[in-house]
Amino acid sequence: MKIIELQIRNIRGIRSLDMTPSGQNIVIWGPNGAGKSAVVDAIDFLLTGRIARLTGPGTRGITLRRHGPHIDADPQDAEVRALVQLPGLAEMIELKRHMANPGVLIHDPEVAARLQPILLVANRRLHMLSRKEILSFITSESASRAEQIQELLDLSEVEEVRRALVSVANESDQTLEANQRSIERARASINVTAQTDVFSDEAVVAFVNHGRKVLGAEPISRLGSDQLKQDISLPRSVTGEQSINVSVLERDFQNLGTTFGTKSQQAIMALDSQLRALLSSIRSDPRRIRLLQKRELLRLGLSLIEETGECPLCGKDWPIGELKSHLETHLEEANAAREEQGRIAQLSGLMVKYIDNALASLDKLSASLKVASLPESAQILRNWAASLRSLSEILSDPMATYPASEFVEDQVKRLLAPEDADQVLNRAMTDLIARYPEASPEQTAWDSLTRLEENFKALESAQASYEGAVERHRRAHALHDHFVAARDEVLWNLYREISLRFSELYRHLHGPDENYFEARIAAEGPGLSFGVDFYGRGIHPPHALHSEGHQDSMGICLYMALAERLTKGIISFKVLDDVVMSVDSSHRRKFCTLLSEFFPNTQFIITTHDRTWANQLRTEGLVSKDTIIEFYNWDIETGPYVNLDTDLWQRVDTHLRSGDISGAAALMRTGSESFFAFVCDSFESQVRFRLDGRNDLGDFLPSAVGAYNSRLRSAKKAAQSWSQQEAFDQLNELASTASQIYQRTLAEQWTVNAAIHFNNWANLGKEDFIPIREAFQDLHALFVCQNCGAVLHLAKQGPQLDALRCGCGQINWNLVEKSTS
Amino acid sequence: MEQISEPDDSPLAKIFQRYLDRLNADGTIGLELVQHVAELMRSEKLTDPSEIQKALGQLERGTIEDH
Repeated sequence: MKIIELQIRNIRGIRSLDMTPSGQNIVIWGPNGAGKSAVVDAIDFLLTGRIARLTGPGTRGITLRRHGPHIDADPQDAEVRALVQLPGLAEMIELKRHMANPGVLIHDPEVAARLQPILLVANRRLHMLSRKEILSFITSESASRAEQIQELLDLSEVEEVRRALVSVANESDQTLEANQRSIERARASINVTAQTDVFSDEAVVAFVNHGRKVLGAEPISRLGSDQLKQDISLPRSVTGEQSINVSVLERDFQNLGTTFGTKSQQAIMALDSQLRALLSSIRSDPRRIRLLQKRELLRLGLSLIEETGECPLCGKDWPIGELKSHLETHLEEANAAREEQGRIAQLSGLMVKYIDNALASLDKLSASLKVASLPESAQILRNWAASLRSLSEILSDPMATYPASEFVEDQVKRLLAPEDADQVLNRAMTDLIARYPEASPEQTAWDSLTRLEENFKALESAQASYEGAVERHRRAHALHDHFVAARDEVLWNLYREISLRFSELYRHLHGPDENYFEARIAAEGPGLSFGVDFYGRGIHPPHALHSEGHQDSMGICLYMALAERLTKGIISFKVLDDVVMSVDSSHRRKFCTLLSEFFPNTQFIITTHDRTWANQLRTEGLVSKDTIIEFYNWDIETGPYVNLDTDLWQRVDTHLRSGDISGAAALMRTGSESFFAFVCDSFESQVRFRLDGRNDLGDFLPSAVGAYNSRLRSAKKAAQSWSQQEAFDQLNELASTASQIYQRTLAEQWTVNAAIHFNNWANLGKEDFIPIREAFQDLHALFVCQNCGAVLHLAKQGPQLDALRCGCGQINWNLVEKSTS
Repeated sequence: MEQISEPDDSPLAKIFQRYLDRLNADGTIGLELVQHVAELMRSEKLTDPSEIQKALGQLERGTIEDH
């Protein structure tokens, strides 16, 4: 999209402005406060419905509705209208937006689909560059630079997706762990029923087959809930499931008794003591806790250290290698703390096994006591089980809160059993025996198998859930890992392309000084590293060694590389808001050719407060006399005064028509001074040195004319040496014309002394002044290509002069003679 | 007339396309899940962990819908 016409009414500092860029580059120049940036704001508002300058940090209390329109204007009267050219569409499209309704872009509904991608790109402000953004590309820290560039790249969604996938993967880890615990608990229940300390198929099969033998069934070799009672004919003496079988429950009483046995208590106490000691040791050293907490960060940080040595987290510069060494030392300490953390997990895991074992019996007994109408005992056991579950929960993450104050060592070694636990259990046992007669061996075998069948169903269910969780875990991690790999792959290539283009642009801008310049931009985890070569002395941060001017150049080149890569011609114009000032005078021509040669199809809208720069952009052919606009004398009532007619000769004539010879003379003198100063630079001609730098037209003009004649003579000699008669004749004719023109400028011999006589133009009458004005216009024209409007300049091959050329190539004087050797 | 659209080679589009290519090539992820992820991308719901959880849960129960 290019801008053909632009009308601004009551936006920011502008009252009313009509411009007709016709898709060409525009330069808006004028002093600070003249209203130039209001044009930038208006374009921003038209495309996005926002004004970026009024948003972001430091803009509290500033609103679009109140501060977008001109200070005295009603939002209803504030609007921007543009006629734009869309790629591939012959007819122009009108776009309009009012401050009163900033969310609505008014346009022909038929072009809505075509506009959508343009507006998407515009919302990322890929078409706007200000000095603030330049600096933020270069000097910002790694993470915020990444954020800014990723915002330009529209990659914030990528990070959101990654976070979502990490969250899902973490959840799958927790689910898997919970399922593993369920299996452990089911196995603990089987152990109690099968009266074995450690779960083993062999021991359980032996127990099952003992019961089956009692019931007259064949032994089995494979365990499973559907196998235990397979092919068993229920003996007559067996009544099916009996609600309470004291012989079976005896195992739970025994199990709990064993739990309180001296041996168990000693084992639990040993585990608990070690656990408490380790936790106490770590907690007494806050540094170790921090190291543990930072361990993952340290590992990540080590993998992200920039080649330049910059810290990937805070952006601080470190001598190369020192940060790596520093982090490695910390990581070693963190790894030692990590080993302690592993030991803590192991100890707490073993304690949880004791708890699971006790819970298996407590749950069964409390349920049986309830059925046996012994609610008091049942409640005591339920309370005990609840406390144990609470302890188990705390031990799943002991670093967080263990040992909580309520779990003193004496209680823990008894697995939180009530003080009178022995009596409670004995009383319960006695009550059950009194109420329920002793069961036959067949009944006990049957009830044991029935209980084991329940235990196996729980185990099988837990195993099925675990298998599902394993698969879910695998898929969740695969979703995450593939995404990160895809992101890294695409971004690596993208940043490589941008690095290469950025380096190419920067090398062009800085020429022979930085022929071997290269940049390395790379995505590294959450950050974006950015290093640049410093004169072949290695890669350093861009703001480490390069001057501020060079950093500005880098910012412009990086922006151009990014914007070019991302807009893909969807928006074919770019607004450079006062950024060209960042380029120092020795690189301005290169900057002009950078824009014209590297971005020939881009419409640049450039603002600057530097008149010389504005003129140079014109003399380099980047803008024409019709697209250089001057803003001046801004006031609150009228906004800026706008001079659309910035062509020197038209402005001189305006003064002449009004009889203002003095004004015309002053304008012609200052305009010529600026023009011939530029010519002297372009022709590399010698100018009289002045310590105060206050050279004037008397210094520049003769030097420029002398250089012109000198280059013309060289071109003629070269043409002769190559036997190019036609070129020679044309140059000869041009030399004659140039001589006549110059003579006309000297018609009034008193003009030779610049200090007096150029000023004396102001004393001439109109009729006397007009021939001088015409002679000077013709003289200016000698140095300018009539096709592209650019001032001629020297082209070199290394230190050797090669040609005198214009911007479009229509003028190209060969300065190299044919070798005679 | 030349049609303009959000460029398919935008970094975001490229990452998503490469992601789907990788998931397809994995072979163990399952076509249903890959299709579901593609659907979440199109509907911009891939940034919501609960949507992905739902997809994984549906897959476990064999109830994921064809897209």
